[in-house]
Amino acid sequence: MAGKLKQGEYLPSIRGLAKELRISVITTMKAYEELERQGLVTAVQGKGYYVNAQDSEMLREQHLRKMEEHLSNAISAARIGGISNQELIQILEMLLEADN
Amino acid sequence: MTTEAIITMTDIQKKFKGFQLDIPFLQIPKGFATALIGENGAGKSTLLNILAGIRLDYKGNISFFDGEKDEYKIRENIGYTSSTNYFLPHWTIKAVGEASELLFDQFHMERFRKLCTDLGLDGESKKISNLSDGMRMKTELAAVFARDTRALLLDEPASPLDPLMRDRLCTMIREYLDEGNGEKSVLFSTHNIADMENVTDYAIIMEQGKVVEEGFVEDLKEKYVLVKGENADEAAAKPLLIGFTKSNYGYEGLCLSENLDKFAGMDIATEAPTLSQISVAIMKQYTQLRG
Repeated sequence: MAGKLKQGEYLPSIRGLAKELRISVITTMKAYEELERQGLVTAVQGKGYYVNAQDSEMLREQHLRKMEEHLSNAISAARIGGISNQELIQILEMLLEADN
Repeated sequence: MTTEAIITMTDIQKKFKGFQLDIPFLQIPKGFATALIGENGAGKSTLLNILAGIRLDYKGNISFFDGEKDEYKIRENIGYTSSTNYFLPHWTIKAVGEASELLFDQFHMERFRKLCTDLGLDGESKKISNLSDGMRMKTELAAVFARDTRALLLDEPASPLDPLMRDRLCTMIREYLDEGNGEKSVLFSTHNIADMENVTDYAIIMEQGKVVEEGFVEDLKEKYVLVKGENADEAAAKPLLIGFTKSNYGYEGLCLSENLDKFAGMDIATEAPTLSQISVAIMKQYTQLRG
C-alpha cells in the first residue's frame, strides 16, 4: 500500500521471502494468503502472486476501520488513566501538529 | 491447504523392550521444513533411522518421492545426519569428503571444502575423534549440504550446536527450501523447539512411540489458545486445559479454540501460543515424568 510494488508486479517468491526475512515458509505463505483474501494480490498457479489494481475506495475503507480501532484503544487507555476527553483531543491535535 | 507428500508411512511398527513405535499413517509434506518434536525416548531417532534406512528391522511401508522404487535414486536424493557418531572415529574431515564423493554421484567436493571453511572447520587433517560434538555435527552438515538432494533427514542437528551456529543452520535450511522452489523438503528432530521455531513449517509431536499431534504451525496456532486466569476459577478451568500450570498469581494452560466459549463468566486473558508452548503442553499430557 505504501507503493513499493506497482500494480501487476510480482511479489517475491514465498520461499525467497522466508529466506530474506528469516522466518518460516508457512508464515510467508499465510501472509500472502491473507493479502489475497483482502483482495490486494492475486495468486497465479506456478507463477506466484502479483499486485492487483488498487481500488482507492476500498483502501480508504480499510484504513478508516484501522483508524477507528486505534482511536478506540486510545479512548479506553484514557478511561483507565482517568484522562479527560478534552485532554485526549488536545493530545491528538498536538500529534497532528507535530506530524505536519 | 493441500500439499503433496515427500514421504508416506503406513503401519510402521517397531517393538523394543518397554517401548513400541506405532505409526498408522504419517506423511511428510513436500517443500517445507518439518520438525519432529518429542521428549527423549519418544521414538524420534528410531523413526528417523527407519526412514534413513539404517534400521531395517521394522514392520510397515514407506514410500518416498511419489512411490519411487529405484533404491539408488532414493539414496542419492536423501541426505541424512545422525545425532550419534556417524563417521568412523579415526577418519579425518578430508576422508569424510572423499568417502562421500565415492558414495554419492551428486557430491561436490568444492562445495564441501567451501562449507567446511564457512563453518569454521579448519584443518582437513583433523580426526573425527578429536572433534567436539559441535564440530562433528558441522562436518555431517557440510557433507550433506555438499550434495544435490531432494530431502534432508536431520537427527537432532541443533542440539550440539552453539546459538550462532543454530541460527546459521536455520538459514541453511531456508536456503535449501528456496533453492528447491517447493521441490525440496527437510525433516529434522529436535527437543529444543524454541531455537528452531522460526524455520518450522510443519510440526509432528511424538510421545511414547506415537504421533500425538501434527499440523502446519500456523494451523496449530489457530487450533489452540493460551489461556491465563485467576486461581479462583481453577476448578472450572482445569478440565478444559492441556498442560495446566498454576502459581500464586494465577493459572495458565492451552485450550482448544473451539472450547474457548466454555470459559464464559471467568476472568481470563488469551494469547496465541508459540510452537514451544503448544509442544510442551501437549507433551505434558502424555509424559511419564511426574511432578
